[in-house]
Amino acid sequence: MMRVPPFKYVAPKTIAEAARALRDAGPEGMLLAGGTDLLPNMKRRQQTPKVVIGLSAVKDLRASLRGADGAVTLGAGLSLTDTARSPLVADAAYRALTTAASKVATPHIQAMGTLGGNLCLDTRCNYYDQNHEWRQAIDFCKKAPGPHGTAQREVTHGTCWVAPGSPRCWAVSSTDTAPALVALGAEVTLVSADGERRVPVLSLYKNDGMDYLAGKRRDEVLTAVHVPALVGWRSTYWKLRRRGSFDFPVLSVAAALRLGPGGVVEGARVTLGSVASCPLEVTTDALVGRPLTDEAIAAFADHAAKPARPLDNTDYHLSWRKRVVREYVVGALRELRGDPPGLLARSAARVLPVLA
Amino acid sequence: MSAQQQGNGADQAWDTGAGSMGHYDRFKVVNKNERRVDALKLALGKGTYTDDITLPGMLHVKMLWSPHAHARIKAIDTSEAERVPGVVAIYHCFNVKPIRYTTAGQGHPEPSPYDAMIFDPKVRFVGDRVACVAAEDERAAAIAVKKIKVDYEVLPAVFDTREAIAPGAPVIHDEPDCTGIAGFDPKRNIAAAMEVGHGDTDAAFAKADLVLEHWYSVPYQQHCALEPHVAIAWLDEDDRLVLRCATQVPFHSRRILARILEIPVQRIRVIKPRIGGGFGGKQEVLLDDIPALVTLRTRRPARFCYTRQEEFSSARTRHPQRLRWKTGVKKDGTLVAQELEVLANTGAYGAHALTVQGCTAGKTLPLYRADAYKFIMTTAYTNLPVGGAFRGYGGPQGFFAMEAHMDEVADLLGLDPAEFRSKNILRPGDENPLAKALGEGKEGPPQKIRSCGVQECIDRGAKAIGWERRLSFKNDGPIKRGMGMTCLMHGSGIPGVDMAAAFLKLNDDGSFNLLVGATDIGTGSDTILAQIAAEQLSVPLSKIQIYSSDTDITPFDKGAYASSTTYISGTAVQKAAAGVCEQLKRAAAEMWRHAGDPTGCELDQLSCEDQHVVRPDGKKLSYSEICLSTFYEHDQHQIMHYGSHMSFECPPPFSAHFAEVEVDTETGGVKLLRYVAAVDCGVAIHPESCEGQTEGGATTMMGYALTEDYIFDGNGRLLNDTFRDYKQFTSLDVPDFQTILVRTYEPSGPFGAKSVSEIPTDGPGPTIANAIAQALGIRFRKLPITPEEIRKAWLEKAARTSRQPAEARV
Repeated sequence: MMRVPPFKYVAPKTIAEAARALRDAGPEGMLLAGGTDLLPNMKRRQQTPKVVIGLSAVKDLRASLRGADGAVTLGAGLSLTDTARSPLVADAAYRALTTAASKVATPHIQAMGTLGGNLCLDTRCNYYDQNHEWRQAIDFCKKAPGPHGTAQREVTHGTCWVAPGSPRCWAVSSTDTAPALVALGAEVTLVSADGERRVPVLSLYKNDGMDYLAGKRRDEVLTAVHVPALVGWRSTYWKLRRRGSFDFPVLSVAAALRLGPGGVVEGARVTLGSVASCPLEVTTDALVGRPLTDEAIAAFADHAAKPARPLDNTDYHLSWRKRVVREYVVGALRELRGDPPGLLARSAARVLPVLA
Repeated sequence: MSAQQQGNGADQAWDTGAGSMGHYDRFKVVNKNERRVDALKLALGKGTYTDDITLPGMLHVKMLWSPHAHARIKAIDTSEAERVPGVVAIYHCFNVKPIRYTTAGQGHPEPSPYDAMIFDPKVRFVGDRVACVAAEDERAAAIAVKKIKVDYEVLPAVFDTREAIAPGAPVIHDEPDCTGIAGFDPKRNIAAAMEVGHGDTDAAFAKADLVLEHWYSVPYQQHCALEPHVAIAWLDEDDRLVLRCATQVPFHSRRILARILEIPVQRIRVIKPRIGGGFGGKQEVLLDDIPALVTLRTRRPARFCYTRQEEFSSARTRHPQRLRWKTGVKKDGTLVAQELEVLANTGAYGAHALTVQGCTAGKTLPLYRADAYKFIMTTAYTNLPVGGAFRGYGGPQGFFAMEAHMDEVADLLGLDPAEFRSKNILRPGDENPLAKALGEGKEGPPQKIRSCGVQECIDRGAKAIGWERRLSFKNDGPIKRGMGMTCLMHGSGIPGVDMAAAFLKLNDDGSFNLLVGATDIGTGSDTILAQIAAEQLSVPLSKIQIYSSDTDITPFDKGAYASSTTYISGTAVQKAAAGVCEQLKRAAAEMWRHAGDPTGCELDQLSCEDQHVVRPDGKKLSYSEICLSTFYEHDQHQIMHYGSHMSFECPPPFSAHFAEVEVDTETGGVKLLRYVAAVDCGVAIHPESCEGQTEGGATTMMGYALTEDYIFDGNGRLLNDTFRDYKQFTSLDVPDFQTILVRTYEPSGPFGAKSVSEIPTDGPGPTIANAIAQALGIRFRKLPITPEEIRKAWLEKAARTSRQPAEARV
């Protein structure tokens, strides 16, 4: 039987009210957007906030617009379905984002889950994403040290079963939209009771399974995502999972590219997801200023695969996951180069068309 | 003189149904896609399932499961748990009488070892029962379960079948009172063993030009029925125990419960409401005893429902097996000998241990003709989750090995896999060489093939998928394409064992109540049985009001398993309806005679047509008029009849499956492009349901081929006990799928029908493996075939060919 533990529910109507409620609740408070991540975690007692601040009544979180400079602002409260279908990001430049949003779990979860919620998704691990009894049987773990543990950040004890003896937690960043948005050079707005600030998406994250959202203060609400105007860019998102639906990514490759005359790369951004506790940006200096030849792609893919250090804490064998990083980077870049789909390496799961 | 009495001419007179194909043109209700009788209530979400009711004062039960793979319970302290508010009772091995039984829901006497108890002082796998708490609500029960203190003496455990049967292994069933049949040897951890054969295999292998032998292995699989196991018990106004439960076997459940609860069968009523899927997992008296026990002790209603995680760890599974297949074949492709050795894992208890493994041979070996066959089987106990009945019942394991092996043989001989199969496949009139040896716990009746559309399945399936295209795949890039095929057969019921009954009565408006013991578990059998009655009575389907499976009200039926419902229960319904037709004619004739109009009223001159009894001169009486007359006016009686059926025949349905895949050699990923299943199930009583059965059964097994497995830690604890981590195929993983229903007529079946429900599960494992083998030139002999394994094998192959370029081609 899995039921949520008792909690106090607050339903603000504006962003300012939400920020105040979050400040007032202190470390016991958490924000609830679509609930597709937090509520199962509460049922399994991995996250047990005493105050839950529901954001569904905050209309401003769903506001989206295109600015005079062509940059797009998407409300963090947009559902993943609406994100994937938004006319503001229909251009091929934003394909990485719309593909990522349309590949999160199932259509039901995309309809409930939000863009902001997916950016703040809890990190995942085979030893963490289990029910209370299961975790009790292994004496819990560093990330969720049992019923007597306090809020996650304060915890310093417990064993990491993936790497016993390790000082840190190795849970995996499993958000689909974050690598895509990093590759698009996006920023987010964070609002607290004291004011607001705008930071790059990548700066939200830290390579730590417990303190993965170190770039966002506990009292801040992520309210909007800003994607720059990307004239002449193309992007794509490749997701590895065992099945064509439902599963969290065990590897994702988001890539954005601008090709100039003669096929010379003018700009390139490549981000890996689900191979660490945060999205990993790959330096692309080797690509820029040269034509995108097979040799260039191969050399870059070898370079890109290096920082990926999957551990044995998710689906599939870790050495295989490491190896496939290279093939996925090659596939994503070839797709952006315009290779016919028949020549591309296929993802292990079925590649589905992006919703129009 | 009947065909059988003609002696030497028997083969010519052997009815293969070929002469009955004209029936197809005359069917009015069967072989039509009638609206399913339960469609509306299910679509409207009417509360029809077991757990849709709640009763005043109902207690909720939670179970404490063993955290150890093997341990003796020395003491249980429930004092703290009892103090949890709302707790009413706690039961365990020290306050429940120990009676050995098997949870396998099979006919009497069950051919599975009696090695289980309601509560046993020994636990044998992680997830075994320890104690249960009944409380006012589920939360209190769950809290109390955690407060039970158990003193365990942890014992060494064994998880591998080969280690389990080796000398010196921990003995899992060391209790002196467990009993079993057929090679049962608990001191060696053997739940069942047998060695049977036909002909002289040594001589046959000696004759062969080529002998090939390989080991294969198949994993655990979970049924994943959407509705978990659930049962609600209460005492009725006569103090009788009523059990409403999700079961495939209400009558077996009643019989087994009576024995282990020590109350007469008469004092128990088992009601089967709508069931949300069973797939064999509910051919088991898995949890019914617990709410029944609570109700008998507390006299209050009680409910027990498994969680999904309990379904994975504590319900039943498909037996994992290692299989050795050995064939002897002539140069021209004629098979001369087949030998199969199976080492199966039944987990901690021997539910269906003998019979599932028997079917591994029984459903597979006879498909191809040979001079001699041998089958050697050992089913081992281990400290892992328990095997049981699962749609296919041993067939999917055996067919994976056999059909992969047949491709390997064809490959070595340079023959087309389809042609090689056609050359050796059985024909109408062939006798099943193993039928006698592989009866269900006793000698089986002889079997001889009547209807057989397997060649047409091969031909039409090959045409549909474009089988000849496989020769022109270029495969020069990293993506390799391949195509594979298999031939399959199954059975229709357990011959000489399965019996079913039906009861039919006429109402004032010309409608009929049809009461059947047959158990619709979501298969559509209520619709199919009503169609059979309607066809026989010559009425529209809407005139049949069917009620199924309530041990107080309906007649006996063995239950929904062994692909038996259409064939066995359907014939019982047909007999009942034929009897009612006779009575209708008799009553109509009497009405005409009574009215002074007796011309043409001889029974053999009357016919039942479109809800009327019709005379040769065209005069007719409606069923409603006849009923009103017999109720209220003349020759008053109830028109009603019953039918019982048991068959010594077990006509196999046949099938051929085809798959086309793409394998990515850079990632190891497999993409299923196309799947074709051609099936001969005799007359399809409800064609759309037959297609649904085929698609559903095959989809279940695509996961078995590629993604599903049980993953354990070193202590026998299941790691992937959720839908998130246990990777079943979802709708988005299913390829383009085509079902072809091949028309045959089975003379021994109701309106020419055979079974259809299990045969599709036999195909995908070997079909997909064969397609991958063609794509890569690499044979995988172990399921599931994962991207990791493919990538590894591909790299190894590449290393081999680059090291030894000269020897690459043998």
